[in-house]
Amino acid sequence: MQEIREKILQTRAFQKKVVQTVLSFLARGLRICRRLDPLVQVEFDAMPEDFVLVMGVLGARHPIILQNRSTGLYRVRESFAAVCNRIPLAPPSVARHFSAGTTDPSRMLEIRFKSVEAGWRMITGQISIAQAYARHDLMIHGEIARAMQFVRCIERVEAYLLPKRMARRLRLLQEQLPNPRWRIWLQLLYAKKEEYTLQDGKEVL
Amino acid sequence: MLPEYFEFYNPVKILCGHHALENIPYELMRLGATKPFVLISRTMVEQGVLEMIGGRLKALVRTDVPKDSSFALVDEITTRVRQEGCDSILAIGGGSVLDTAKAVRVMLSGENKNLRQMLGSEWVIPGRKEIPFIMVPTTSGTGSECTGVAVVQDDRTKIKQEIVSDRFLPDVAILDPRCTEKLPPRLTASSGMDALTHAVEAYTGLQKNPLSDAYASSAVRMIGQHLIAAVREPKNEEHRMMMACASTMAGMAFSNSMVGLCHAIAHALGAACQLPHAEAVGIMLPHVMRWQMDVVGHDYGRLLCDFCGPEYYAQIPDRQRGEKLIEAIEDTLIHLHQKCEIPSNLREAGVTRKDLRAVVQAAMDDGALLTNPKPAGKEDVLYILERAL
Repeated sequence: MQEIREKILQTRAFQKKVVQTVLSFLARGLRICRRLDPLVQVEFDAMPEDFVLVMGVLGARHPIILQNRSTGLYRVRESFAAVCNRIPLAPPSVARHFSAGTTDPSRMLEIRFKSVEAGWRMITGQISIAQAYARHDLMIHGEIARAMQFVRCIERVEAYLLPKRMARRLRLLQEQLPNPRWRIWLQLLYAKKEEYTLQDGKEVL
Repeated sequence: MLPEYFEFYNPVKILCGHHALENIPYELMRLGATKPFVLISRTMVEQGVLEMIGGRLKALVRTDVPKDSSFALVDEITTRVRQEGCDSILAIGGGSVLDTAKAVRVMLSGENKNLRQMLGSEWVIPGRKEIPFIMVPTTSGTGSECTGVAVVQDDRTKIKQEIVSDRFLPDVAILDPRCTEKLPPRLTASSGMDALTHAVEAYTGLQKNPLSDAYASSAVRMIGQHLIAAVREPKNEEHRMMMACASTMAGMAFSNSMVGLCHAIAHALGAACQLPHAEAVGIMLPHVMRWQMDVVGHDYGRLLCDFCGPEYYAQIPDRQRGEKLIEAIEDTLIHLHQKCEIPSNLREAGVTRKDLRAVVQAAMDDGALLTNPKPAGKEDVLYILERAL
């Protein structure tokens, strides 16, 4: 019995790490597509300046946090609590509680997977983000219209990153992609360097 | 086919039929309410609904709810209700009254001081236990009494925000035929088409499941049998009761299985062209159905049996059943158009070609698009709208 319990915990820990890693990868893809893909550009241009996007598993202290600016999309390397403190609706002491819904939804969109397994299903390409929503895998905090914009961007990035057959099965390849897939993949390598510059750099959030 | 995973939630006690209104004092007492806040439309007050309810409880009554609920209105009512010390809510009216009451109830029950904190879908804000909440719908279309969705206008942006939460569901819903007795035929017709759209979209949505299917197909059957009759004979209590029941069942179905493209476009038509929601969905339904026949045609075929009856269904070859359902719905819409002048196309509803681009953009940002069985892009939505013009 002990073995079974340990195996479950090990699997979950593994899945958690994979989910976090792939979400980082997805975030990098979003930043690249923000520059290169016309659809993603239009969607992010329609969002307010300094709009914050959060994506992660429920309860995770370090979800992926992105900030939209006219100059691009930036990865914020701070804890969620710190970000909440900067855009609070309630006093900072209250906003410190993770996912407590105390931040201003007009300045922030938060999408959380209800469980690690829910995140695993999506990031491994078993289901699309629309199907994840249909399965009640997602919690959304913020304006639904913004969530729809963000979802379209994620779907476009997935269309680039996932193998063609998988993307077709998830109905992500409805139209011809404006960029060759290899170009996005190559750019992913450079994006990492930019991230470090940002982390060291002057302006994060 | 059983989905890999599904959720179904509906904790609402439903009181349906003759003199159901008179049971409200008992239900309030059962739920531990001592001083309810009553949000009621003026028409219902004039029809003597408060007198029908009776009871000895003290209550705070408010009748002036505008056509579109708003954040400011919800804040104002919440403050007033807190000051008066009310411990429960009774909402009697149409969509706006019920949506306002849902938002007020959540504000009173939780610790949140701003409705904006509730924006989103299935977001959980820790709060104390919900206060007792009773709803009495006065139209047979929205199904709002059994849905966890509220639409409230943001005063800052003038955009109607959709909030999805289980906490919007009331403890009790009352369906009394006297509440729909004075409903104009045009409203009966358009709200009936709204209920039909809820049921059809719930039956084909991405979140569909055997439980929602059962409610949706029963609702389609009842609407198929009673919608035209309810418009033709507004005094007939049986037809009105069946439509009220069908609307509630469709509400239960779509609250769990979600609506789709037809609603996304109708919400956009409401925002961009001020088209009443019930009329917009009625116009769009056959066009959206025809567009996605290749994906859900088989499901439509099954609904033909419910909408037109088993005799007709048996005469139609399997491959033609989906198309025949669409034709039957179009015939119903045209019949209702001739009978009470509900618009049968967008042009009649005052929508012009130059409005379409704005409608497409608004539709693309609607959450209902996410649960549509066939993914739709801007070009698809524009194509459907042009067909409906």
